[in-house]
Amino acid sequence: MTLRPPAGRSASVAACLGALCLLSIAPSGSAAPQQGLDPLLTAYTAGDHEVVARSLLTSNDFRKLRLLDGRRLDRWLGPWSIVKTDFLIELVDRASAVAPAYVGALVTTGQRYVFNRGPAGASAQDDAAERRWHLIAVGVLQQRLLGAQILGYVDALHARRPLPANAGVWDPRIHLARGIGQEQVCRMLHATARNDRLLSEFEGKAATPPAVRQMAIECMQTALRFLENAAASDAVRDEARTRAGFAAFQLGRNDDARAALDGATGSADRTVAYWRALFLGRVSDALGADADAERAYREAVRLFPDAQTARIGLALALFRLHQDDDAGEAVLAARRVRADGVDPWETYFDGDARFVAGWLAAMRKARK
Amino acid sequence: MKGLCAAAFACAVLAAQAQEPQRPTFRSGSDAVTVDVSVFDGQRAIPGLTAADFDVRDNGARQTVSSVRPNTLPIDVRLLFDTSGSITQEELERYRRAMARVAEALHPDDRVEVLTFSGRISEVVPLQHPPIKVITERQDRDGTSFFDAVSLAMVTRPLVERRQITIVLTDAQDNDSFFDKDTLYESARHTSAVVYGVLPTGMADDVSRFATRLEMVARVTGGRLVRSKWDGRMGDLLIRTLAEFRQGYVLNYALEGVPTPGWHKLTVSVPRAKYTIRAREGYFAR
Repeated sequence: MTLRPPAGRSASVAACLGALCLLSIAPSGSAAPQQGLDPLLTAYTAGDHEVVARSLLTSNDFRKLRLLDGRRLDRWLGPWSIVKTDFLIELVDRASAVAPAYVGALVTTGQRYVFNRGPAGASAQDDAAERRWHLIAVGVLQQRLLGAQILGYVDALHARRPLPANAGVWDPRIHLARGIGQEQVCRMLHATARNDRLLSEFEGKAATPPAVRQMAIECMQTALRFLENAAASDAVRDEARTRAGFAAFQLGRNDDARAALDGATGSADRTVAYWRALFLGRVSDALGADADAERAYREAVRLFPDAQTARIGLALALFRLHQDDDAGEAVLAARRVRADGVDPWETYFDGDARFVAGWLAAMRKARK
Repeated sequence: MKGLCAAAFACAVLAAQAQEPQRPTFRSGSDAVTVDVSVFDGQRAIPGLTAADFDVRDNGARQTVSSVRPNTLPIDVRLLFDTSGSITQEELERYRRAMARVAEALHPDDRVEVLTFSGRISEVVPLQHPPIKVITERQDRDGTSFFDAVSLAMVTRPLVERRQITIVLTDAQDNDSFFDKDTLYESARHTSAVVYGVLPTGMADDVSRFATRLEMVARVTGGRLVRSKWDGRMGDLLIRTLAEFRQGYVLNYALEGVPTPGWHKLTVSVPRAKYTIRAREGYFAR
């Protein structure tokens, strides 16, 4: 399991590990924007929630607006307003779709804007807007695999809105996001190391250098710690434990992995339930419990019948169990899954990206 | 009743047990084991060997080889292409031509199937007798799931009357698999197919560091890793590989002095000469 660049997105951008890469791609020209932000904001405020998607079609449109110029954008934003916060998150989301290089910079500026509104707690409405901003912004960062920036973001939130006094602006998913961000960082490291399993020794001369291996292990240990901490929150417990189980598995701690996954049984989120079943299959594989693996993969297939990863796991488990007829059928089923079939494994590292559209829809609905 | 499956090309069986061709059975309390072996002196296949020439050790215990016969059974060939982004369109076309030559070299009783993979694995040509039209098509999805695809491609059903060979053409890079080398290794230990890996050389990206993945699979299954330049010689090389595969022997023995089930480590040699012997590293007894 190594790095997969985000589907349809540039691997080089994903590999920038945060906003650092943005510094090198800022536009050098100072051409006046063809269309400023004011008309877009006006339309948006009037209820035209499609104006951003309709107007910003390519990264060139973002360039024309000079949105990498943080100080310029700071000046335009001015004093705190909920509508500008919402509008800004629309820009972030749109950038993720058509101008991914702008996401990191826009989130950085937006976070600064939100923090500058003053202390939380004075207005429930403002707190709700800030909470929404953090949630969606971090969700988009996950979508872009900007793990390092997620960690920085959550650290800044801790510093500026320390708990428990600022609980109103903290969504439980932000705790989980810290673990997901760290998973993303580890995954990048993973790919660099060409180290498919942290403790694997199969590569021979091509094996990961010990220093890089150690770095990868420490990275995953940190992820595991973050995820275990996130599991303290009821709202994200099952997903946090599921992810913690996978992290423990990658560290070769199969019994810990099994315990974490066994403790994540209550998720109503079908995607999380799939991940859990899939990981339980892998852990059972590693423990030599092929019958348990078969059961786990069957559950994953039941949840997402077109998920090829689960079907491969099932075929391999049956194969090891010498159930030749069933394995043969499972192989054919795995090979013949629908090309457009949903396999949530493929979006595991995208974290909360799967919720962003829904959160934005709820935000727009609330604005009406 | 116990059953053992140990073959480089097909699952083990005694000739007398061929009445139920898809389901090998093992009788009378003695476990019949069949091992496919290739013997070479340099590049030259050695013909004419008899049971007395072979020394076979099963988990360290010497076995009495009851029969040796040339490999004459029809074969099932599984062709697995890497069509991921690291393979250019031109390289893919060369793959296709090489695979088409392999398909053309098959006998009427043989069968062939074609699979491709990038982020996912898909069946391009289902198992059928030749002639076939070898086609390649890229998937929309990004990524390269080498471990997932090759592990799945090694899932085989033991067959009595056929031998099985899997040819994998890939640079062995991976960036998208859920499964890993552990899974690959276990699949290699379980498969009844011989796996030949074809690693292209002379690519812009040095893929030699990934060769160990394919080497491991080939070694465990009794196949080998073939390095080939991206040119017309790849087809010739594959046809020679297929011929080499057909020039082997099928060794039979009734397992003695070794408990089953579990993993059985095999060692095959020809004591009287310094030949190169290729046979699978072992097998799982049921």
